[in-house]
Amino acid sequence: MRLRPFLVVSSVVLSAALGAQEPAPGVRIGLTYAPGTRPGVYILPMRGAGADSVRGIVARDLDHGDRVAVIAPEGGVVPSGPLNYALYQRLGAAAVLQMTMPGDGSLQVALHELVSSTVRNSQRFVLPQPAFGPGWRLAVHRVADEVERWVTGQQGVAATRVLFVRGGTLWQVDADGENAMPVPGVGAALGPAWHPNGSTIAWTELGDAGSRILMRDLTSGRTAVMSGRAAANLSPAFAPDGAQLAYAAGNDGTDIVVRPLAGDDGAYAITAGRGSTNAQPTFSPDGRRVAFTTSRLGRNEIYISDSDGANPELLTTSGFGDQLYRSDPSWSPDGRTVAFSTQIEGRFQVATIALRDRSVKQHTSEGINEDPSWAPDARHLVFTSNRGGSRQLWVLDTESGRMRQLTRGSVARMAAWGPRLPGAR
Amino acid sequence: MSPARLSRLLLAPAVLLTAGACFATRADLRIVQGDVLAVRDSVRVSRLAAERRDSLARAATDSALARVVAALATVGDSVVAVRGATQRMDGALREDLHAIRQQLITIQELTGQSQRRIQELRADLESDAVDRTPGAVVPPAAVDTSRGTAAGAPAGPGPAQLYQLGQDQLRRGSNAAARGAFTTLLTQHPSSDLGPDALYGIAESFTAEGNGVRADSVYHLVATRYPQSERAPIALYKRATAYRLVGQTERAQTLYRQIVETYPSSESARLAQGFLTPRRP
Repeated sequence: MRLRPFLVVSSVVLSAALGAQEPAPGVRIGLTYAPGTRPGVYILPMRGAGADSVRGIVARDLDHGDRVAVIAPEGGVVPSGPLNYALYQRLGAAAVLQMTMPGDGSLQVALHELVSSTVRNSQRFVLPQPAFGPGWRLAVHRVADEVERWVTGQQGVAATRVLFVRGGTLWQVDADGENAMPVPGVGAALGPAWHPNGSTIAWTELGDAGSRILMRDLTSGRTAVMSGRAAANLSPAFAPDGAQLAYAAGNDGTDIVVRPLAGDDGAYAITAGRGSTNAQPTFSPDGRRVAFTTSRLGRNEIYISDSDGANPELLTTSGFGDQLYRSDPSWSPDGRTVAFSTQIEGRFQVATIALRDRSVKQHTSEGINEDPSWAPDARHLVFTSNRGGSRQLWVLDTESGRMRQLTRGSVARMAAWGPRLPGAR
Repeated sequence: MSPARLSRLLLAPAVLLTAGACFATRADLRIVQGDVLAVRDSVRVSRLAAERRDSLARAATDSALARVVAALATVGDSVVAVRGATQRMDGALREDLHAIRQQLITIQELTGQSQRRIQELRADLESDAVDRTPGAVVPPAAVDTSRGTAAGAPAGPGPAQLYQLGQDQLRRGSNAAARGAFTTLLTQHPSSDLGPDALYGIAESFTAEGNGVRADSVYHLVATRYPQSERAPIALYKRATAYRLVGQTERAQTLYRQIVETYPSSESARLAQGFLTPRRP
């Protein structure tokens, strides 16, 4: 993993410099980020109960967002009075983030734009109690996401969670790798999926008689069986409007069926597989198209069709004699690309295909990498990789190629990156 | 005379009579015993003879049965061999048929993929032809008239270019611009083989705008104006789906039936069939 682009500065010297609001002569500055590619954001020291944690979480979230270069030296003096904008500009920053804790459980956040020497954004955020609990951490993640939006125009994805399979059952983890915990009351599970509301999930439950699709409201704990009597029911996916659930079902091969979540209409097939396997549906953001894996060519390839099944066409191009194997499609939230697993020289790798010109970009090459799932920002992918020795979840920034390990411990796989959680902007 | 004396007087002659009889019976018994032994020997001999005959008969029967069983086994083996051969042949035929079907599907799919590529190449060729042509008018020789472009047609993009342009605009979400390209194609190249696709594209642009009524009317045009095109069953399927989604089940069912009856081998027919039979899982 790449080292965080933190500024390496002598805190004593820097404290003196900031306290005097003038750069001290002889300060040696070592920046590890590339100015110009990402705006530098200087995160000022802050005081108060839990201040270090808040600053650390926000700094890490912004760093994980890969859109800004974080400058957050350890220690330092909390500045009082007007900020010396010129100094921070000389340190490579384009903006300064100032966070204060008034003591009423809230967090006051201001973003100073150095070019205009003004406070560009200011907002008070409520941090729920108890401090450091999952709800408190989520609220701090939302602060980071909002700051990222202020700086770049794009909201971050720190206030999201990832569902995955560990030890044969479902787990979830925060997007920064914290709070990994099993989803209670779930048996043998595969292929989790998030509802767009962020509080409902679906998954494949394995049983002696076959598999079925279950859906659960995480708030109420209410669980419902969504699949019918077919022996195999696999790979659920919600439509972007949350009104339908698609999954693969069948006895001899599988077809993709769509089941409305409201009303009396039953499930209907949108593929006519003729004994082939059609599975792993993923909707386009507008809900009008579906990508899926199919074996109708004799090997697994990715197809796309209208969401009613019309106009199916091969997405991942290949020629006669090409024995590649492609699966696990995930349609990017911006609608421009589909990520998928592709077998290259006998090993799975993560790739994306642009829908405009069908150009393919391979993103991984080290170890076995599969099961990609897009983050809501359409920039980051979570996937399963054995590059660290055992299968774990990793996060890839598709723009820079930067990767970070998301899970540790026993084997983790089949990740599904969820939407921004309720309450987040 | 006392009773005791009388008993003694009568007992004496009785004993004498009984003893005499016994002497006569013992001799006779010896004779009878001899006869019995003779009879027994005779019976034993007869039984042995009978057993020998039975044994011979049984052996003969067993031999005959063994021959029959052997014959039956031979026949059974032949039957098994024939059945095995038949099954192998059947399996091979099934595999061949499956492989052929698979290859056909592959060819169909790749043909579809190639058609898209060919479409792009046609657009490129038309673009090159226009670029190479001095002046404003495209020489008839530079354009493939068999594709529907009339000789002496006004300068400008060919049908493939227009179709490509329309598709690009559709993907971009510029629905009005897409309609413009498709409409130009239909008016300037009315006999182009891309006509059904262009008309279908216009319907798609209305769908993208959420204008279901106009989309339905254009889908209807696709199916009626170009009933032999591949777009016709898809257009009907789109109409049926739209009616189903707004609860007009009867109209949807009618259209689904029409697809199955008119275009039974189409992908749309296979999908439509699912709405005509009891709901699948």
